[in-house]
Amino acid sequence: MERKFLTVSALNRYLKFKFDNDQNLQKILLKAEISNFKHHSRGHLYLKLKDNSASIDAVMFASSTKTLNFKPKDGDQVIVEGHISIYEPYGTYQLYIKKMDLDGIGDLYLAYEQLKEKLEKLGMFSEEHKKPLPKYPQNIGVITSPTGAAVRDIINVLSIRYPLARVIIYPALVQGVNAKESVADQINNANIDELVDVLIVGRGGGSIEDLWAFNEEVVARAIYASKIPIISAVGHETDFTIADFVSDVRASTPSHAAEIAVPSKTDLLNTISKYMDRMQTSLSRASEAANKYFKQVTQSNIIANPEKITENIKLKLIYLEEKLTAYKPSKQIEHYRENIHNYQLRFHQIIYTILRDKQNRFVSSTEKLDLVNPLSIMKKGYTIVKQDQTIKKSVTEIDESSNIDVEFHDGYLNCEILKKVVK
Amino acid sequence: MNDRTFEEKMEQLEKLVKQLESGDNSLDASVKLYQEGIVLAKECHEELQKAEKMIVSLKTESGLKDFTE
Repeated sequence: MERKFLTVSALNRYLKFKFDNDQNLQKILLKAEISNFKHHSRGHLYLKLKDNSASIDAVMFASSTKTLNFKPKDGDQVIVEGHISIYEPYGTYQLYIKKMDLDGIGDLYLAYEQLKEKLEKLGMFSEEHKKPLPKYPQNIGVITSPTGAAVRDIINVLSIRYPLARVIIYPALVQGVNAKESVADQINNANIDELVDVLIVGRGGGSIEDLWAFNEEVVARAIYASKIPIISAVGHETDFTIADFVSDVRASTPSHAAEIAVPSKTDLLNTISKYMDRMQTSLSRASEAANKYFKQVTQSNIIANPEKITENIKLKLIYLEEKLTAYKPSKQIEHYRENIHNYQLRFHQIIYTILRDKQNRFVSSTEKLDLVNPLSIMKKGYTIVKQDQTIKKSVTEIDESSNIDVEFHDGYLNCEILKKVVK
Repeated sequence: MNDRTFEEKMEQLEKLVKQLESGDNSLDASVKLYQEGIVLAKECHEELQKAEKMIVSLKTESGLKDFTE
Protein backbone atom coordinates (compact mmCIF):
# COMPACT_ATOMS: atom_id res chain seq x y z
CA MET A 1 0.00 0.00 0.00
CA GLU A 2 1.39 3.20 -1.06
CA ARG A 3 1.46 5.84 1.62
CA LYS A 4 0.72 9.49 0.89
CA PHE A 5 3.17 12.04 2.36
CA LEU A 6 2.39 15.63 3.06
CA THR A 7 4.99 18.36 2.84
CA VAL A 8 5.58 20.44 5.98
CA SER A 9 4.59 23.51 4.04
CA ALA A 10 1.33 21.96 3.04
CA LEU A 11 0.61 20.94 6.62
CA ASN A 12 1.34 24.36 7.97
CA ARG A 13 -0.73 25.92 5.23
CA TYR A 14 -3.58 23.58 6.10
CA LEU A 15 -3.31 24.39 9.80
CA LYS A 16 -3.28 28.09 9.06
CA PHE A 17 -6.37 27.62 6.92
CA LYS A 18 -8.11 25.81 9.82
CA PHE A 19 -7.16 28.50 12.35
CA ASP A 20 -8.14 31.37 10.08
CA ASN A 21 -11.54 29.86 9.36
CA ASP A 22 -12.43 29.30 13.02
CA GLN A 23 -14.65 32.20 14.05
CA ASN A 24 -13.82 31.68 17.74
CA LEU A 25 -10.14 32.30 17.05
CA GLN A 26 -10.71 35.38 14.94
CA LYS A 27 -11.97 37.58 17.75
CA ILE A 28 -10.23 36.88 21.01
CA LEU A 29 -10.71 39.02 24.11
CA LEU A 30 -8.13 38.06 26.69
CA LYS A 31 -7.24 39.11 30.21
CA ALA A 32 -3.61 38.32 31.03
CA GLU A 33 -0.23 39.41 32.38
CA ILE A 34 2.67 40.51 30.19
CA SER A 35 5.99 38.67 30.35
CA ASN A 36 9.10 38.34 28.14
CA PHE A 37 8.27 41.76 26.69
CA LYS A 38 10.50 42.80 23.79
CA HIS A 39 10.31 45.99 21.80
CA HIS A 40 11.65 45.20 18.32
CA SER A 41 13.71 47.86 16.58
CA ARG A 42 11.14 48.00 13.78
CA GLY A 43 8.47 48.95 16.28
CA HIS A 44 6.79 45.56 16.63
CA LEU A 45 6.16 44.31 20.14
CA TYR A 46 6.86 40.65 21.05
CA LEU A 47 5.58 39.30 24.33
CA LYS A 48 4.04 36.41 26.16
CA LEU A 49 0.66 36.60 27.75
CA LYS A 50 0.19 34.42 30.78
CA ASP A 51 -1.91 33.56 33.76
CA ASN A 52 -0.94 31.43 36.76
CA SER A 53 -0.61 28.20 34.82
CA ALA A 54 -0.30 28.90 31.08
CA SER A 55 1.16 31.26 28.52
CA ILE A 56 0.83 32.12 24.83
CA ASP A 57 3.11 33.97 22.41
CA ALA A 58 1.79 37.26 21.15
CA VAL A 59 2.85 39.96 18.74
CA MET A 60 1.67 43.52 18.23
CA PHE A 61 2.73 45.04 14.95
CA ALA A 62 3.99 48.60 14.79
CA SER A 63 0.91 49.60 12.78
CA SER A 64 -1.34 48.69 15.73
CA THR A 65 0.79 50.21 18.48
CA LYS A 66 -0.50 53.72 17.67
CA THR A 67 -3.62 52.99 19.69
CA LEU A 68 -1.55 52.11 22.77
CA ASN A 69 -2.30 54.33 25.75
CA PHE A 70 0.54 53.08 27.92
CA LYS A 71 4.06 51.69 27.73
CA PRO A 72 3.68 47.95 28.20
CA LYS A 73 6.16 46.18 30.43
CA ASP A 74 6.54 42.83 32.15
CA GLY A 75 4.01 42.32 34.92
CA ASP A 76 1.34 44.64 33.48
CA GLN A 77 -2.18 43.30 33.79
CA VAL A 78 -3.74 43.87 30.39
CA ILE A 79 -6.88 43.37 28.39
CA VAL A 80 -6.07 42.28 24.86
CA GLU A 81 -8.08 42.11 21.68
CA GLY A 82 -6.85 40.17 18.65
CA HIS A 83 -6.91 36.93 16.68
CA ILE A 84 -4.95 33.64 16.59
CA SER A 85 -3.04 32.58 13.53
CA ILE A 86 -0.20 30.32 12.47
CA TYR A 87 3.17 31.57 11.40
CA GLU A 88 3.67 29.22 8.49
CA PRO A 89 7.49 29.04 8.35
CA TYR A 90 7.69 27.70 11.91
CA GLY A 91 4.26 26.25 12.36
CA THR A 92 3.88 28.23 15.57
CA TYR A 93 0.67 29.84 16.52
CA GLN A 94 0.41 33.13 18.29
CA LEU A 95 -1.97 35.87 19.28
CA TYR A 96 -1.88 38.86 16.93
CA ILE A 97 -2.77 41.82 19.15
CA LYS A 98 -4.95 44.55 17.64
CA LYS A 99 -5.63 46.50 20.80
CA MET A 100 -4.17 46.36 24.30
CA ASP A 101 -5.25 48.32 27.38
CA LEU A 102 -4.11 48.29 30.95
CA ASP A 103 -6.58 46.38 33.09
CA GLY A 104 -8.18 48.43 35.82
CA ILE A 105 -9.42 51.29 33.66
CA GLY A 106 -12.87 50.55 34.97
CA ASP A 107 -11.51 51.17 38.45
CA LEU A 108 -10.11 54.53 37.32
CA TYR A 109 -13.52 55.66 36.02
CA LEU A 110 -15.10 54.64 39.29
CA ALA A 111 -12.49 56.61 41.26
CA TYR A 112 -13.04 59.60 38.99
CA GLU A 113 -16.81 59.56 39.49
CA GLN A 114 -16.47 59.16 43.25
CA LEU A 115 -13.98 62.01 43.62
CA LYS A 116 -16.02 64.25 41.36
CA GLU A 117 -19.13 63.68 43.44
CA LYS A 118 -17.24 64.25 46.69
CA LEU A 119 -15.64 67.54 45.59
CA GLU A 120 -18.87 68.78 44.06
CA LYS A 121 -20.60 68.23 47.42
CA LEU A 122 -17.82 70.21 49.10
CA GLY A 123 -18.66 73.11 46.79
CA MET A 124 -15.28 73.06 45.08
CA PHE A 125 -16.82 73.46 41.61
CA SER A 126 -19.13 76.31 42.58
CA GLU A 127 -19.31 79.34 40.30
CA GLU A 128 -19.04 81.76 43.25
CA HIS A 129 -15.58 80.49 44.02
CA LYS A 130 -14.28 81.07 40.52
CA LYS A 131 -11.92 84.03 40.16
CA PRO A 132 -12.03 86.38 37.17
CA LEU A 133 -9.04 86.36 34.84
CA PRO A 134 -6.96 89.54 34.46
CA LYS A 135 -7.73 91.40 31.23
CA TYR A 136 -4.12 92.29 30.43
CA PRO A 137 -1.87 89.88 32.36
CA GLN A 138 1.73 91.02 32.68
CA ASN A 139 3.11 87.74 33.96
CA ILE A 140 1.76 84.36 33.06
CA GLY A 141 2.73 81.19 34.91
CA VAL A 142 2.67 77.89 33.06
CA ILE A 143 2.71 74.69 35.09
CA THR A 144 3.52 71.81 32.77
CA SER A 145 6.36 69.70 31.47
CA PRO A 146 9.12 71.99 30.12
CA THR A 147 9.80 69.50 27.34
CA GLY A 148 6.31 68.64 26.12
CA ALA A 149 4.37 69.84 23.11
CA ALA A 150 2.00 71.71 25.41
CA VAL A 151 4.61 74.22 26.59
CA ARG A 152 5.64 74.93 22.99
CA ASP A 153 2.04 75.45 21.91
CA ILE A 154 1.35 77.77 24.82
CA ILE A 155 4.49 79.89 24.26
CA ASN A 156 3.72 80.05 20.56
CA VAL A 157 0.19 81.31 20.94
CA LEU A 158 1.08 83.75 23.74
CA SER A 159 3.95 85.30 21.81
CA ILE A 160 1.80 85.81 18.71
CA ARG A 161 -1.21 87.20 20.54
CA TYR A 162 0.35 89.25 23.31
CA PRO A 163 4.15 89.53 23.30
CA LEU A 164 3.93 92.19 26.03
CA ALA A 165 3.44 89.43 28.59
CA ARG A 166 6.27 87.63 30.37
CA VAL A 167 6.04 83.92 30.89
CA ILE A 168 7.37 81.90 33.80
CA ILE A 169 7.40 78.15 33.40
CA TYR A 170 6.99 76.12 36.55
CA PRO A 171 8.30 72.76 35.41
CA ALA A 172 6.24 69.83 36.60
CA LEU A 173 5.98 66.13 35.99
CA VAL A 174 2.69 65.61 34.21
CA GLN A 175 2.53 61.83 34.14
CA GLY A 176 3.62 58.96 36.32
CA VAL A 177 3.22 58.33 40.02
CA ASN A 178 4.90 61.56 41.14
CA ALA A 179 2.98 63.82 38.79
CA LYS A 180 0.15 64.72 41.17
CA GLU A 181 2.50 66.00 43.90
CA SER A 182 4.69 67.75 41.33
CA VAL A 183 1.75 69.67 39.82
CA ALA A 184 0.22 70.48 43.23
CA ASP A 185 3.60 71.67 44.57
CA GLN A 186 4.16 74.01 41.63
CA ILE A 187 0.67 75.51 42.06
CA ASN A 188 1.56 76.19 45.69
CA ASN A 189 5.00 77.53 44.74
CA ALA A 190 3.52 79.96 42.23
CA ASN A 191 1.21 81.22 44.97
CA ILE A 192 4.14 81.68 47.33
CA ASP A 193 6.25 83.45 44.66
CA GLU A 194 3.42 85.80 43.68
CA LEU A 195 5.20 86.52 40.41
CA VAL A 196 2.32 85.82 38.03
CA ASP A 197 -1.20 87.18 37.49
CA VAL A 198 -2.63 84.02 36.00
CA LEU A 199 -1.67 80.35 35.82
CA ILE A 200 -2.10 77.86 33.02
CA VAL A 201 -1.97 74.31 34.40
CA GLY A 202 -2.00 71.37 32.07
CA ARG A 203 -0.46 69.07 29.53
CA GLY A 204 -1.02 67.73 26.04
CA GLY A 205 -3.20 64.82 25.09
CA GLY A 206 -2.68 61.26 26.25
CA SER A 207 -4.42 58.22 27.65
CA ILE A 208 -6.64 58.43 30.67
CA GLU A 209 -3.70 57.14 32.72
CA ASP A 210 -1.43 59.83 31.30
CA LEU A 211 -3.86 62.53 32.36
CA TRP A 212 -4.55 60.94 35.71
CA ALA A 213 -2.59 63.41 37.82
CA PHE A 214 -5.24 65.97 36.93
CA ASN A 215 -7.91 63.72 38.42
CA GLU A 216 -6.20 63.53 41.79
CA GLU A 217 -7.59 65.16 44.90
CA VAL A 218 -4.27 66.76 45.88
CA VAL A 219 -4.17 68.64 42.56
CA ALA A 220 -7.84 69.63 42.84
CA ARG A 221 -7.24 71.02 46.32
CA ALA A 222 -4.15 72.96 45.24
CA ILE A 223 -6.17 74.54 42.43
CA TYR A 224 -9.01 75.35 44.79
CA ALA A 225 -6.64 76.96 47.30
CA SER A 226 -4.80 79.04 44.69
CA LYS A 227 -5.19 82.81 45.05
CA ILE A 228 -3.96 83.18 41.47
CA PRO A 229 -6.67 82.46 38.88
CA ILE A 230 -6.07 79.18 37.07
CA ILE A 231 -6.88 78.08 33.54
CA SER A 232 -6.83 74.30 33.19
CA ALA A 233 -5.60 72.90 29.90
CA VAL A 234 -5.54 69.14 30.02
CA GLY A 235 -5.42 66.95 26.94
CA HIS A 236 -7.89 67.39 24.13
CA GLU A 237 -11.32 68.90 23.66
CA THR A 238 -13.03 65.69 24.84
CA ASP A 239 -10.97 65.17 28.00
CA PHE A 240 -12.69 66.40 31.13
CA THR A 241 -10.64 66.10 34.29
CA ILE A 242 -11.38 67.00 37.90
CA ALA A 243 -8.86 69.85 37.49
CA ASP A 244 -11.11 71.29 34.78
CA PHE A 245 -14.08 71.44 37.15
CA VAL A 246 -12.15 73.11 39.99
CA SER A 247 -10.17 75.59 37.94
CA ASP A 248 -11.48 79.09 37.28
CA VAL A 249 -11.66 78.55 33.54
CA ARG A 250 -11.42 75.33 31.56
CA ALA A 251 -9.59 75.41 28.25
CA SER A 252 -10.06 72.57 25.79
CA THR A 253 -6.36 72.42 24.87
CA PRO A 254 -3.09 74.11 25.93
CA SER A 255 -3.22 76.40 22.86
CA HIS A 256 -6.78 77.33 23.73
CA ALA A 257 -5.66 78.17 27.29
CA ALA A 258 -3.10 80.59 25.87
CA GLU A 259 -5.84 82.21 23.77
CA ILE A 260 -8.04 82.62 26.82
CA ALA A 261 -5.21 83.98 28.96
CA VAL A 262 -4.34 87.04 26.85
CA PRO A 263 -6.05 89.54 24.57
CA SER A 264 -4.96 89.48 20.95
CA LYS A 265 -2.67 92.17 19.61
CA THR A 266 -4.81 92.56 16.48
CA ASP A 267 -7.98 93.03 18.52
CA LEU A 268 -6.24 95.57 20.74
CA LEU A 269 -4.95 97.56 17.78
CA ASN A 270 -8.51 97.63 16.44
CA THR A 271 -9.85 98.76 19.78
CA ILE A 272 -7.28 101.56 19.95
CA SER A 273 -8.15 102.81 16.49
CA LYS A 274 -11.86 102.70 17.37
CA TYR A 275 -11.10 104.78 20.47
CA MET A 276 -9.29 107.29 18.26
CA ASP A 277 -12.31 107.53 15.93
CA ARG A 278 -14.64 108.01 18.86
CA MET A 279 -12.48 110.79 20.28
CA GLN A 280 -12.42 112.52 16.89
CA THR A 281 -16.21 112.38 16.69
CA SER A 282 -16.59 113.73 20.21
CA LEU A 283 -14.22 116.58 19.53
CA SER A 284 -16.16 117.52 16.39
CA ARG A 285 -19.34 117.55 18.43
CA ALA A 286 -17.72 119.71 21.10
CA SER A 287 -16.48 122.22 18.55
CA GLU A 288 -19.89 122.36 16.90
CA ALA A 289 -21.42 123.15 20.26
CA ALA A 290 -18.80 125.83 20.74
CA ASN A 291 -19.62 127.25 17.32
CA LYS A 292 -23.25 127.57 18.27
CA TYR A 293 -22.24 129.35 21.43
CA PHE A 294 -20.01 131.73 19.46
CA LYS A 295 -22.91 132.53 17.20
CA GLN A 296 -25.11 133.45 20.10
CA VAL A 297 -22.47 135.64 21.64
CA THR A 298 -21.53 137.35 18.42
CA GLN A 299 -25.14 138.03 17.52
CA SER A 300 -25.76 139.85 20.77
CA ASN A 301 -22.57 141.91 20.76
CA ILE A 302 -22.05 142.44 17.10
CA ILE A 303 -23.33 146.01 16.90
CA ALA A 304 -21.70 147.14 20.09
CA ASN A 305 -18.21 145.88 19.43
CA PRO A 306 -17.79 144.12 16.13
CA GLU A 307 -14.03 144.44 15.86
CA LYS A 308 -13.49 143.05 19.36
CA ILE A 309 -15.42 139.94 18.51
CA THR A 310 -13.46 139.31 15.35
CA GLU A 311 -10.37 139.75 17.41
CA ASN A 312 -11.56 137.21 19.95
CA ILE A 313 -12.48 134.73 17.30
CA LYS A 314 -9.19 135.26 15.58
CA LEU A 315 -7.36 134.63 18.83
CA LYS A 316 -9.50 131.58 19.47
CA LEU A 317 -8.83 130.40 15.96
CA ILE A 318 -5.10 130.84 16.36
CA TYR A 319 -5.27 129.01 19.67
CA LEU A 320 -7.33 126.20 18.22
CA GLU A 321 -5.28 126.00 15.08
CA GLU A 322 -2.17 125.54 17.18
CA LYS A 323 -3.78 122.83 19.23
CA LEU A 324 -5.51 121.13 16.40
CA THR A 325 -2.69 121.22 13.88
CA ALA A 326 -0.61 119.36 16.42
CA TYR A 327 -3.00 116.44 15.94
CA LYS A 328 -4.11 117.24 12.43
CA PRO A 329 -7.84 117.49 12.75
CA SER A 330 -7.62 119.50 9.55
CA LYS A 331 -11.34 119.21 9.00
CA GLN A 332 -11.93 121.13 12.22
CA ILE A 333 -9.66 123.93 11.20
CA GLU A 334 -11.37 124.14 7.83
CA HIS A 335 -14.66 124.27 9.64
CA TYR A 336 -13.50 127.15 11.83
CA ARG A 337 -12.09 128.98 8.87
CA GLU A 338 -15.39 128.74 7.11
CA ASN A 339 -17.15 130.06 10.16
CA ILE A 340 -14.79 132.98 10.47
CA HIS A 341 -15.34 133.73 6.83
CA ASN A 342 -19.09 133.69 7.35
CA TYR A 343 -18.81 135.96 10.35
CA GLN A 344 -16.70 138.39 8.40
CA LEU A 345 -19.23 138.43 5.59
CA ARG A 346 -21.93 139.12 8.09
CA PHE A 347 -19.98 141.93 9.74
CA HIS A 348 -19.52 143.52 6.37
CA GLN A 349 -23.22 143.28 5.73
CA ILE A 350 -24.06 144.81 9.04
CA ILE A 351 -21.58 147.63 8.68
CA TYR A 352 -22.90 148.21 5.18
CA THR A 353 -26.43 148.34 6.56
CA ILE A 354 -25.39 150.88 9.15
CA LEU A 355 -23.69 152.99 6.54
CA ARG A 356 -26.65 152.85 4.22
CA ASP A 357 -28.92 153.82 7.06
CA LYS A 358 -26.75 156.83 7.78
CA GLN A 359 -26.68 157.71 4.12
CA ASN A 360 -30.45 157.55 3.91
CA ARG A 361 -30.73 159.77 6.88
CA PHE A 362 -28.32 162.19 5.25
CA VAL A 363 -30.36 162.28 2.09
CA SER A 364 -33.57 163.01 3.89
CA SER A 365 -31.80 165.72 5.89
CA THR A 366 -30.52 167.37 2.73
CA GLU A 367 -34.05 167.26 1.35
CA LYS A 368 -35.23 169.11 4.40
CA LEU A 369 -32.40 171.57 4.01
CA ASP A 370 -33.39 172.01 0.43
CA LEU A 371 -36.72 173.40 1.48
CA VAL A 372 -35.02 176.34 3.14
CA ASN A 373 -32.38 176.80 0.46
CA PRO A 374 -32.76 180.33 -0.98
CA LEU A 375 -32.04 179.02 -4.47
CA SER A 376 -35.14 176.84 -4.25
CA ILE A 377 -37.19 179.82 -3.23
CA MET A 378 -35.77 181.87 -6.12
CA LYS A 379 -36.90 179.10 -8.48
CA LYS A 380 -40.42 179.99 -7.46
CA GLY A 381 -39.93 183.60 -8.71
CA TYR A 382 -38.20 185.37 -5.90
CA THR A 383 -35.12 187.49 -6.71
CA ILE A 384 -32.38 189.05 -4.68
CA VAL A 385 -31.41 192.67 -5.05
CA LYS A 386 -27.76 193.53 -4.44
CA GLN A 387 -25.89 196.82 -4.52
CA ASP A 388 -22.14 196.85 -4.10
CA GLN A 389 -22.22 193.09 -3.51
CA THR A 390 -24.48 193.40 -0.48
CA ILE A 391 -28.05 192.08 -0.28
CA LYS A 392 -30.58 194.88 0.13
CA LYS A 393 -33.59 194.11 2.20
CA SER A 394 -35.28 197.55 1.93
CA VAL A 395 -35.79 200.24 -0.71
CA THR A 396 -34.43 202.76 1.76
CA GLU A 397 -31.03 201.06 1.66
CA ILE A 398 -30.70 201.65 -2.09
CA ASP A 399 -28.53 204.46 -3.43
CA GLU A 400 -30.35 205.80 -6.50
CA SER A 401 -27.16 207.06 -8.14
CA SER A 402 -25.64 203.65 -8.80
CA ASN A 403 -26.78 200.48 -10.49
CA ILE A 404 -28.26 197.47 -8.72
CA ASP A 405 -27.95 193.74 -9.46
CA VAL A 406 -31.16 191.69 -9.55
CA GLU A 407 -30.25 188.04 -9.04
CA PHE A 408 -32.38 185.18 -10.34
CA HIS A 409 -31.61 181.57 -9.59
CA ASP A 410 -30.05 181.29 -13.03
CA GLY A 411 -28.39 184.67 -13.49
CA TYR A 412 -28.64 188.39 -12.77
CA LEU A 413 -29.54 191.75 -14.37
CA ASN A 414 -27.54 194.92 -13.89
CA CYS A 415 -30.20 197.67 -13.77
CA GLU A 416 -30.31 201.48 -13.67
CA ILE A 417 -32.71 203.00 -11.16
CA LEU A 418 -35.27 205.27 -12.84
CA LYS A 419 -37.34 206.06 -9.79
CA LYS A 420 -37.33 205.25 -6.07
CA VAL A 421 -40.60 205.10 -4.14
CA VAL A 422 -40.74 204.52 -0.42
CA LYS A 423 -44.05 203.19 0.83
CA MET B 1 4.23 108.53 32.94
CA ASN B 2 6.02 105.66 31.25
CA ASP B 3 5.93 103.59 34.41
CA ARG B 4 2.28 102.96 33.79
CA THR B 5 1.48 99.43 32.71
CA PHE B 6 -0.21 98.71 29.41
CA GLU B 7 -3.33 97.79 31.35
CA GLU B 8 -3.36 101.14 33.19
CA LYS B 9 -2.91 102.99 29.91
CA MET B 10 -5.69 101.09 28.17
CA GLU B 11 -8.03 101.68 31.09
CA GLN B 12 -7.15 105.37 31.23
CA LEU B 13 -7.74 105.61 27.49
CA GLU B 14 -11.13 103.97 27.83
CA LYS B 15 -11.99 106.43 30.62
CA LEU B 16 -10.92 109.43 28.53
CA VAL B 17 -13.01 108.29 25.57
CA LYS B 18 -16.07 107.92 27.78
CA GLN B 19 -15.46 111.29 29.43
CA LEU B 20 -15.06 112.95 26.05
CA GLU B 21 -18.24 111.29 24.83
CA SER B 22 -20.23 112.44 27.87
CA GLY B 23 -20.45 115.92 26.27
CA ASP B 24 -20.21 117.69 29.63
CA ASN B 25 -16.96 119.42 28.74
CA SER B 26 -16.06 122.86 27.49
CA LEU B 27 -14.24 123.04 24.17
CA ASP B 28 -10.97 123.65 26.00
CA ALA B 29 -11.54 120.63 28.20
CA SER B 30 -12.51 118.55 25.17
CA VAL B 31 -9.36 119.54 23.32
CA LYS B 32 -7.31 118.65 26.40
CA LEU B 33 -9.04 115.26 26.76
CA TYR B 34 -8.58 114.62 23.08
CA GLN B 35 -4.92 115.57 23.24
CA GLU B 36 -4.30 113.30 26.22
CA GLY B 37 -6.29 110.49 24.64
CA ILE B 38 -4.43 110.59 21.36
CA VAL B 39 -1.08 110.54 23.15
CA LEU B 40 -2.19 107.49 25.15
CA ALA B 41 -3.59 105.74 22.11
CA LYS B 42 -0.31 106.29 20.28
CA GLU B 43 1.67 105.00 23.25
CA CYS B 44 -0.43 101.85 23.50
CA HIS B 45 -0.25 101.33 19.77
CA GLU B 46 3.52 101.68 19.77
CA GLU B 47 3.95 99.47 22.80
CA LEU B 48 2.04 96.70 21.03
CA GLN B 49 3.86 97.19 17.73
CA LYS B 50 7.28 97.32 19.38
CA ALA B 51 6.85 94.20 21.50
CA GLU B 52 8.56 91.53 19.49
CA LYS B 53 10.06 88.74 21.51
CA MET B 54 8.25 87.52 24.57
CA ILE B 55 10.42 86.87 27.61
CA VAL B 56 10.11 83.28 28.81
CA SER B 57 11.78 82.12 32.03
CA LEU B 58 12.05 78.81 33.77
CA LYS B 59 11.56 78.65 37.52
CA THR B 60 14.32 76.56 39.08
CA GLU B 61 15.53 75.84 42.61
CA SER B 62 18.00 78.71 42.20
CA GLY B 63 15.55 81.23 40.82
CA LEU B 64 14.46 82.28 37.33
CA LYS B 65 16.50 81.28 34.31
CA ASP B 66 16.11 81.93 30.60
CA PHE B 67 13.95 79.29 29.07
CA THR B 68 15.17 77.71 25.87
CA GLU B 69 13.28 74.94 24.18
